[in-house]
Amino acid sequence: MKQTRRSFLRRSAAAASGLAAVVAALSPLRELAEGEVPDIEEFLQKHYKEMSPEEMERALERIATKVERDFGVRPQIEDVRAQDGVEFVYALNLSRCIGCRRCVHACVEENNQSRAPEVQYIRVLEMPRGTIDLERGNHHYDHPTVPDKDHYYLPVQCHQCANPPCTKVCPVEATWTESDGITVIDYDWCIGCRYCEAACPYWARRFNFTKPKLPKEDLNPRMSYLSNRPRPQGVVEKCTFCLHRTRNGELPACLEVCPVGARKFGNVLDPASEVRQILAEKRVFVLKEEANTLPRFFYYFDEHYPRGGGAGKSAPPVGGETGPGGGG
Amino acid sequence: MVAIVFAAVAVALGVLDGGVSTAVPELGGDVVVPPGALTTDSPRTPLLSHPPRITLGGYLRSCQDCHALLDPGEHALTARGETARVQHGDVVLEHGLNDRCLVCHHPADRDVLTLLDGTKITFDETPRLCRQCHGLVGRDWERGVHGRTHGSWVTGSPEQRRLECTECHDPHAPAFPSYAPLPAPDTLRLPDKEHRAPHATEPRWPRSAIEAARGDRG
Repeated sequence: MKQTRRSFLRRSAAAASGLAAVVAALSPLRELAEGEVPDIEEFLQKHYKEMSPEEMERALERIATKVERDFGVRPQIEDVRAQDGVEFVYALNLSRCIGCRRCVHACVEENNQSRAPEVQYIRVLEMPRGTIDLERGNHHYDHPTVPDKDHYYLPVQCHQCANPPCTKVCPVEATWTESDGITVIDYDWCIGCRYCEAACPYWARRFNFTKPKLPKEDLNPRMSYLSNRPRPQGVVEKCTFCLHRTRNGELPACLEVCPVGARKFGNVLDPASEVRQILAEKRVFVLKEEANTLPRFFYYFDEHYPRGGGAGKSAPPVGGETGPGGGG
Repeated sequence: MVAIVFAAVAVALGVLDGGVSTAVPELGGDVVVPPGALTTDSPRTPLLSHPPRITLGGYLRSCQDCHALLDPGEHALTARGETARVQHGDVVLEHGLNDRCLVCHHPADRDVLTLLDGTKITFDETPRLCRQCHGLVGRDWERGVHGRTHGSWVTGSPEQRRLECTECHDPHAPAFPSYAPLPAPDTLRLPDKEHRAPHATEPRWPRSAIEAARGDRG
């Protein structure tokens, strides 16, 4: 074909615009700081379930090196696996919860969430008494002291569903449910499409829109691959029942910090466990049962004795960073 | 004889002029402090040892050291103010119908508590005492449905510890006090002041509880 002036210009224009598109597509790479560009081994890292123990060892070493570089601390990072014969269940006593938000902030500290912008796994909804209409819940309540007498408090976090909508929509299988019932995310496999976030009926998943900001001194150096290791920008994260603690026999951070004992956690396959007693003896319900998600997070309440004798009724309000002094 | 000497010392130091009530119970070496507990700002107190000890004028004393000598007898029946109290004026008794000191404290031996039938029980067995009236809660507590369990979810694990009644509740005013809530989430989606928590710009909660719990475990 003879090259005319017209066809030459046309082809040149097409090539130039194509090149410009490639440059535009790659431009985010220019914003990556030194050391943030993934090396070839990281780039070729396999899916969590396909990694051999040696490959996992190398991945953990790589993460530890990165954390040490960014935070100046050598983390104790492990890949802690699910125990056999264990299925975790959470139970929360709505008659006891006073909405103090200790759990929210303990969770942030434990799980190395971004401080700015804030990423929080637990939302405490202040609900008008007599309704369970979540549309009427308010998580921005800011009374000088809680509980407020006209409200009850409904903390919501990942329900670790047995029929989870979030894992089904993931196009790359970066999120799945483990044998002990915990739904996890491989942050290195997540492409940040946020389908899971949209699918979750409980608003339990959070997306890192920016690079998470975590002060060096606030890093929790005890971490695991599937839970609280620092996350990159552009991935989804969520509550993992603190699996780096609970798979080692400990209790989640939100439970340890709860001042009123509203939170209960345990192995539902153990007939002597506290959660099993609650499921057997108490009035229990799950949130949005009609969504057929089969949550492993249960709410219950005390029906046969009054609410703590009227929490906060007689004791003087106590506040501030020092906290209550004992009411007497 | 010991008691008389002690009383003389106490008078000399002026602790009987209302000073006793402000003394803080000293934690003896045998007091059980659960791992991971006492790290939050709840009204929890550690379990009292048996016998409970108190520092008076620099000496570690048990309750009965004073009460053997200065037994107020019938005058100690109420804490509601009908009888003027010379001591323990800081104790506010807000326990519903239970407004008599000697319902729980043993009338003759202040180092122990008493059940309604007169049985002596020590200060570290309070669930037995409380369950006389609070049976349903007591039953729930025994099952682990009510109350706080710390350390581990593994049933029967040595790390697991269930807190007793008085470790969460002040026995003299058992209703849970009100709390100042920690800051609301700053979701950046509600710019109007009405919905925005005014405290949202204040410093976040200092990392205390979890860090302390971590430190306790070593």
